[in-house]
Amino acid sequence: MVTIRNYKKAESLEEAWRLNQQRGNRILGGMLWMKMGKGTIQTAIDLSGLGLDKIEETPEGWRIGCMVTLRQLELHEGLEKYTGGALREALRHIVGVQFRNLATVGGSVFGRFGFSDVCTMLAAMDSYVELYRGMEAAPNVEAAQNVETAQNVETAQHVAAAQNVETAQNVEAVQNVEAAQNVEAVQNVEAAQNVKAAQNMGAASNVGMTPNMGVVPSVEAPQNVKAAQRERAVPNVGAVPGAEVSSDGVSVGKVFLGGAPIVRVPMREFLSPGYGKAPLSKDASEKTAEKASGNVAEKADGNAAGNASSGYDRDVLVSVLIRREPAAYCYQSVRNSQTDFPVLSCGAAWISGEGGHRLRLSIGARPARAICLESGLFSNEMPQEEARAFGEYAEEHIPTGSNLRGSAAYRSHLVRVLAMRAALRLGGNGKC
Amino acid sequence: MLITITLNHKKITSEVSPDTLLIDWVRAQGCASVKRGCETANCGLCTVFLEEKPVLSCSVLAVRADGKRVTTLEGLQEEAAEFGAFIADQGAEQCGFCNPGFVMNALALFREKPDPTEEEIREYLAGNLCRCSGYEGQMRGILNFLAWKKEKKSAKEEVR
Repeated sequence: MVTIRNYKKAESLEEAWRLNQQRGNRILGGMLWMKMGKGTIQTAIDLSGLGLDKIEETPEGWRIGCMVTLRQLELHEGLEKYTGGALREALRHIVGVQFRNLATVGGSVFGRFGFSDVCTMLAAMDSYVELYRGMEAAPNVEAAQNVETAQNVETAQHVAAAQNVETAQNVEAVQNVEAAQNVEAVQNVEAAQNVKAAQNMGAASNVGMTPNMGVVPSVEAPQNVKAAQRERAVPNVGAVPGAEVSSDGVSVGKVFLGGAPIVRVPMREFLSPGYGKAPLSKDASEKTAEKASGNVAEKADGNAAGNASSGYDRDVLVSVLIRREPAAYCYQSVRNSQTDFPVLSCGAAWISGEGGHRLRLSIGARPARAICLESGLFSNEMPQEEARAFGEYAEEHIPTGSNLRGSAAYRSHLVRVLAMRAALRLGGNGKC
Repeated sequence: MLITITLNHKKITSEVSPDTLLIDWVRAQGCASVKRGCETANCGLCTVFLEEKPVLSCSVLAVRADGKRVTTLEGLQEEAAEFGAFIADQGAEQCGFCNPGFVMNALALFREKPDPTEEEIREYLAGNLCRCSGYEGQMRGILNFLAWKKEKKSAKEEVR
């Protein structure tokens, strides 16, 4: 059990944010994971008095307050209908009702746990995190860096936009022969980067890969590589003050919500290991990660719980936005026993667009945090052999690791099977 | 810190430290039915109702329950005895350690879903671990209890 010296129920987001800029203070979620840690929290900041426990339907989709419990999310009729039960399926295996009555959406997402079914499912959807004054005054970032960052606003906008390019744009871009020719080379780069990422921290970045299955490849992959490269050059990407990017109706970057300055970041970017890492705090965060790996539970689940001192950690996650898209979803997980952490989790979206459908696959509990893969265009139906090829492609390209719950080889096998089943369930005639 | 919690319909004001857990607080008030089973928020033994919702009291700060209603098995004696008899009839309580948490969550289920299917029962009670029984006895006890309740209800309606 952690030791808590002071407890403060925040009266405003600004107060919570200010308190949270001090090292040693932490924001409370449901406290289910935090409680199991050791160490001392100077001031525990409670957001439960700020009305952030509501799911609100907006013109673009749903805004889920950070204090909404997993049980509330599970029982939400609109989201149940929209996801065809996939969201409920992602949640209902998490421990028990009493646990889900406490665990919060904010705690689950901000923790960026590898085992998190919540993160895996949200990464398969068009979702965003909304951070109060995100990265604005992260400690350890010098003013000079901020200036440099500001100069890169345009670049950052391109990165954010690139990560949100929609089907229609992909289709158009794919007609560019040069882009298509680059796909293979780019895939190799991506794969190599992912292996390295997996080896480091057991957390890999969001990738967009294109199975070569006789379908037109999307250019998502080349764009993401560029994004990844830029991300290293501009560490504060997606959270640059002043950046405002409109991508198909959802602005990413700095926005205002009810007068509050909010930075909106795409979920897949938020889950990527490059996100929020300020150069000066990198060493510190690595040290923390090493320290944290001494904790058996954390090590066993290979998650990045050790990122306590990276820049983003001082942000206040206010809400998660789920944007409506023309898609069908499914969720699968494999568990050694009921209510345990998953051995592997798999969220998938079958997205309709101009000229066909794309499949977005999110694999979590690898045991590292969720990673995404997007297919090229499929016609209206997914033939059995293409679903099989998609599964094989996913197995080949999604890095897995070993822990107490399963070996890397077993997990990779599961990636293939679950990817194929998702493809058949969503795009095929329903036969698995 | 000074907190006021309505525990089993009784308002109690007491001084707690910021990291006092609700489980320790309710036990200090004499509610010994609330057990610490696993310490990892998995077993369901420490289940209490916080504002009528079943939660794991091992993971709730007492200060977070300030101004709220907390109910333990001690506050639900009649309901618990009625249902518990059906579990006992099946010999399903065995060592008895998981029983209070199990009964609490079963009562929460009946309030939320008065007529649950077997699958719904399994899903709702998945977070209550029992290392003696294998759960079959509990399932029989629950189904018998529900059948008895239904019978009682229809008998009442006939009398009317």
